[in-house]
Parts: sequence; structure tokens; C-alpha cells
Amino acid sequence: MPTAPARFIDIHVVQSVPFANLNRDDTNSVKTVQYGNTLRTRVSSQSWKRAIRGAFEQQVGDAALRTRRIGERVTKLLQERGWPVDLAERAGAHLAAASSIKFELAKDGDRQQIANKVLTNAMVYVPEAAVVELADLAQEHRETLESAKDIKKPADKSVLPKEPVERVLRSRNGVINLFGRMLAEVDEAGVDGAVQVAHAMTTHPTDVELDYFSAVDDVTAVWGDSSGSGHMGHAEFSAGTFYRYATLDLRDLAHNAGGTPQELRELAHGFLQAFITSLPQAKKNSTAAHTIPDLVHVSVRSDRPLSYAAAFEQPVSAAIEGGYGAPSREALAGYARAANTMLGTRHILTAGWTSLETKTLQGLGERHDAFDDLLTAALDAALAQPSGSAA
Amino acid sequence: MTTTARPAPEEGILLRLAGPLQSWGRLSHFNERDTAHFPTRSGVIGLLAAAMGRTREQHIDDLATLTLTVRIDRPGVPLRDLHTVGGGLPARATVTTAEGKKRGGDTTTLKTHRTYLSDAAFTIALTTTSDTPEGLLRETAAALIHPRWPLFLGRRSCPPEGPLLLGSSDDVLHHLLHLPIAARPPRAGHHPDVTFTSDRPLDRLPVPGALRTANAEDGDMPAGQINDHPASFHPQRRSYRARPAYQRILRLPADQYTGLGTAHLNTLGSYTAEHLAQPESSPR
Repeated sequence: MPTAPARFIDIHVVQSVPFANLNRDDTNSVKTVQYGNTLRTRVSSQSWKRAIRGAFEQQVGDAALRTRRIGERVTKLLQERGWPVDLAERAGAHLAAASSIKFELAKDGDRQQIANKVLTNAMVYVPEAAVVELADLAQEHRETLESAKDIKKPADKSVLPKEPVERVLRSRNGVINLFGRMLAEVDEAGVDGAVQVAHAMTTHPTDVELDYFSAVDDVTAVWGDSSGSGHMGHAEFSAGTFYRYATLDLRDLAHNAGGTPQELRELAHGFLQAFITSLPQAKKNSTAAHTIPDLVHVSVRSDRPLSYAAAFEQPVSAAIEGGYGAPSREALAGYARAANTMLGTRHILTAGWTSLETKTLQGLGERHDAFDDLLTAALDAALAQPSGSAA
Repeated sequence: MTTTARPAPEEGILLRLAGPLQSWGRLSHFNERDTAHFPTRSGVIGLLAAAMGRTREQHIDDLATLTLTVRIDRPGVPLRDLHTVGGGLPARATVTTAEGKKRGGDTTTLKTHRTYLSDAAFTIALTTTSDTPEGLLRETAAALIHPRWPLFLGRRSCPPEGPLLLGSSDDVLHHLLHLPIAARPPRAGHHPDVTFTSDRPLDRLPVPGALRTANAEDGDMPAGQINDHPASFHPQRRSYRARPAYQRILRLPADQYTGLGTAHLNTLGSYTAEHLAQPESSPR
């Protein structure tokens, strides 16, 4: 029986970001990477993925919780349903303790043990609806919980049945089907994600700028005492044009999500849209670097995903009049042409681009005016039923 | 030194592992994830298994019979990346603040580190042994053109750039020596060393006399051991065995260095079109 060809949706973005520090390390420094023997600004994939996840959840209205405090979260809901505080706390603790995940008890300042704040040792990652399902489960077993003892130490056993709790922990929604879940403690709860996101990096060498700042003390300023400031410090920033890349494995997404082609389309569209519009939010209040992409290129491939990072291995030089945007867009298109020459184009089902660029870029497929048109065209091609084969 | 007979040519396939970031874990545990300085056997065999659509539970005995010779085109530089996870941990297990204090409450976070190799590029020859099933290389090559899952260089956030499969050849080690190198040409008079590593003796590399360095070894004796021979990738029974590591250092001619990015891709394309066979791709 013929099967549908594997299909990957590759999305490439060129995006200029002004003075900002979107993603910093433990010393508050801008993250960097050496590439093509030059130092670039980098935003880690995990950082950008979290921003994508947030944007996706907002658009689709289908959130997931990643938490060690699932028990406390259910306690809150039970209280809202009118449960007495101590019973709601006991129920939350027993629910959190019921799964195969080991747990510990929260401590107040590492001195006094707080009973009934059970923290799972692993973070669970569940659809938001799981909170309601767990609360309903507590409701079902209310009598048992009323006569149960509190959980006071990690060796205490839950009075609640393990299997229904684990069934809830295994439940998924769109965002989990897209991004995957790692939860080794609960059997069959692991989900391999259907998206692969690369670290973003600038297309050119960047310098990290040290921004010295001082905070004026309003009282001494009014007194005309200008000899000192209330606080001094420095922060690191950099500016540049980034190359961002991700690929969506449609076959894996269909495998994870099941569902109808329409649901598949919504998930894929939601991810691509979120990839385009999202931006990590570190230092947003002091930089407001809320830019949109200069160029988005999407290609749907039946063979293999293909990153164009090497377009910028030889770092882009600023244009004569300044600016990295235009030469970066040219470099991306040039590399795409070279790659298509070498690998052939028969595995590209469709390709297109949308850009602030007014010039025509050769090698990136068809031009679309709006991001949404670009995504619609790509998804139409990607989700079309191949003739003479079953999906 | 007497001239020894050239070892018999071997058939095999050639891969190129290059990208801004790679990470070939060897001794990783919990919150510290390391990388070797070159693609490990377990990493490359895992990549082939992913291309063929084998899950972690499935066997890899056949793939593990392949032998791997790596040319380190650009060794790259290590990059240690901070990765924070979650929150809600007890204060004692959290990030130390700039003031040396601990955070509490809702801002607690677990700190982990991953090490990457940035700016590295490798060319790899995969050859068979007497234990390799007939047709495995052909199947592997086809899978690299149509991988079941998106491929990555050790970590999922490290997609490969450009072509991964360069092609196949009846004399694969010859081309491992002669394929263009993705690096800028060295300055006149400079001869950068290129390191080759393998799981088998490297005296079988068909090295023209001019490329031999004065006192370099042949690589016929193991330089050490590496614990990267995969027995199983099963999540509950993942295991590796030690294998000998051979190493050889050669000087390759300056005109073999063909630059970076698009320029390199073009020369690489011409070389593979002229010298290497492109395996028939089978849509899966």
C-alpha cells in the first residue's frame, strides 16, 4: 500500500532586532556563538520555543501547564468549589502523591515542614483541563479523603487510585502534541515533539554593548545635591539581524494528534504563526524590541528538512549605506538557489516568501503579500491528499 | 621508508555533519550535558537509525557493524549554554543570585548546562565489515535522503546544514581524503593539520606521499579507548561498550580548502556530481 510521502514544513526567518537582550545566561550576559570564525549573538532554541509556546497557547486558546505544583493547583480549584481548606489541601497532596512520580514536601525556608504541599520531583506537563479532571477525581473520592491521614513525609502513600491519576497525566492537547513531553516516571506519558527549532543567531558578527546606568535619587536631586546617584550598574545588550529556523514534521504531528485534517491544519498553522510573531521577552520593559520578521520563507518538502544556516557561515557584510537586513535576505536567497541546484527541486512541494523587501528575491519561490497568505499556500500544498495514495 | 602497497579500495558512503551547533554527548548525566570533540559512534548510528525510522526500542545490531572514519574539517569550539528549567523547586536547589543569595517562592529555577561544539564541520566515511548485512549501506543512504524523522547533530536543536549524504563510492577513503574542506584557505606557507579519527586502524587511508607529515604516526595502533559503541538505545536499557580509537594527522593541500557557506556548497556540489554516485532515493 502506498503511503503519503513524509512532509516537512521548513520555516526560515530573517529578523532584525534592535538593542536588546532577548536571552541571557547566568551572568546576565548576552548569549553568543562562534560561527564561521566570528562571534554572533545567539538566542537559544529553548528560549525561543517557550516564547512560541506562549504565543501558540494564546492564539489557539489551549494552554498546558508545566509544573511541580499540580497538587496545590488542584487544591485551589477545590477551595473555589467550596471545599474546606484543610480537606482541599489534603486532597491536592494525595492527588500529587498518587502517581508513580516521587515527591517531596515543601519546606518553609528550609526549616519548618509544610504538610500537604506535595511537590512532584519531576515537572508534569498536562493540558490545563487536567486540573479540572483531577478535582473531579477528588470529588469522587471525597469520603475516602475525609477519613484519610495527611501526607507528611515522602514515604506516605496516597489513598487515591494511581491509574486514573496517571491517565490524567498522560492526557495531551495541541501544544503537547506539537512540542512533545518528557515524563519518564509515568509509563507511556512521553511524547516525541513534532517540531524542531534551531538556535537563532545573527547573520553577522556582533559586539556586546555594556550599558552603564545610574538611578537618580529623586530626593537628593530636588535638594540640588547632585554628587551621587541612588544606584549604579551595567547591563549587556546587543543588536543584530537574526536567522531563525524551525521544521515541523507533519507526519509526526498527525501521529501525535490523531484528529481530522482540519485539526492538523490548525495546529500547524498555529505553530507557524507563533514562530513568526513570537519574541522572547527578556528585558522587554527596558528595550521594547518588538520587531516582526524582515523575511519569512516557507518550503514544504517531501524528502528532508533543510536548514539554510550555512547561508550566513560566511558572515554578511553591512550594505554600503549600512544595514544587515538587505544583504541577509540576499544571502538567504543565494544559498537557497545553490542548495536547490545541488539537491534538486523535485522534493519541494511548494515554496514561498513574504517580506518587507520591495525587490524580488530569486530562489525562494512565490511571493505573498501577507504572512497569512504564505501560510495558507504552504498548508494547502502540505495537506493536499497525494493522488493515488492513502494518508 | 619503503613504499607499502595501497590498501584495497573499499566501498561506502560519505556524510557531512556540519552546522552552527552540534553536541555529541559521551558522559552526560542529569544537569551537565557534555560533548565529544567529534561525532561519536553512538551519535552517528543513532542518526542513521532515526533516518530509517527505528524507534529507540528497536535493534541496531546491523547498523552497529558499520565502521566510521571521521575527518575533522573544522574542530569547532566548545560552547557551554545555560538552560534553566521550570520553577517551584525548594530554595536550596535553586539558582544563586548575583548577590550570592537564593531565590524563593515562585521565581525558583533549576539550572542546567549543555555543552555544544560550535562552528565545527566533519566529513565521515561509513564502510562495511564482514558482519554487515548485504544492502544495508544502500538502505541507509536512501533513508538519509528521505529520513523518517528530522535529523539532528546530537541534540534536536542542532539541525544539519546543507547536504548530509554526499554520495557513495567504490573507493570511499580516497574521497574522504580529497573532498573539499569547508574552511578558508590557509595563508601561504601554513599547513594546518587535519585530524582523522576512526574505530579501526588508519594505516589503510590511501595517503599520497606528499601529504604525509615528517613524524606523524600511521594510526595503526589505538590512541585510546572511547565508550561510544552502542549496544542498545532502549530508554530503560541504554548501553554502550568501549572501543579502540585510532587517530591520524595529515596535511591536506591548500587548494582543497574552499571557503564557507554558499561558496563551499557550490564546490562541494561540483565535486560530488563529478566523483560520487548518488544513491537512488526511494520515497517512503
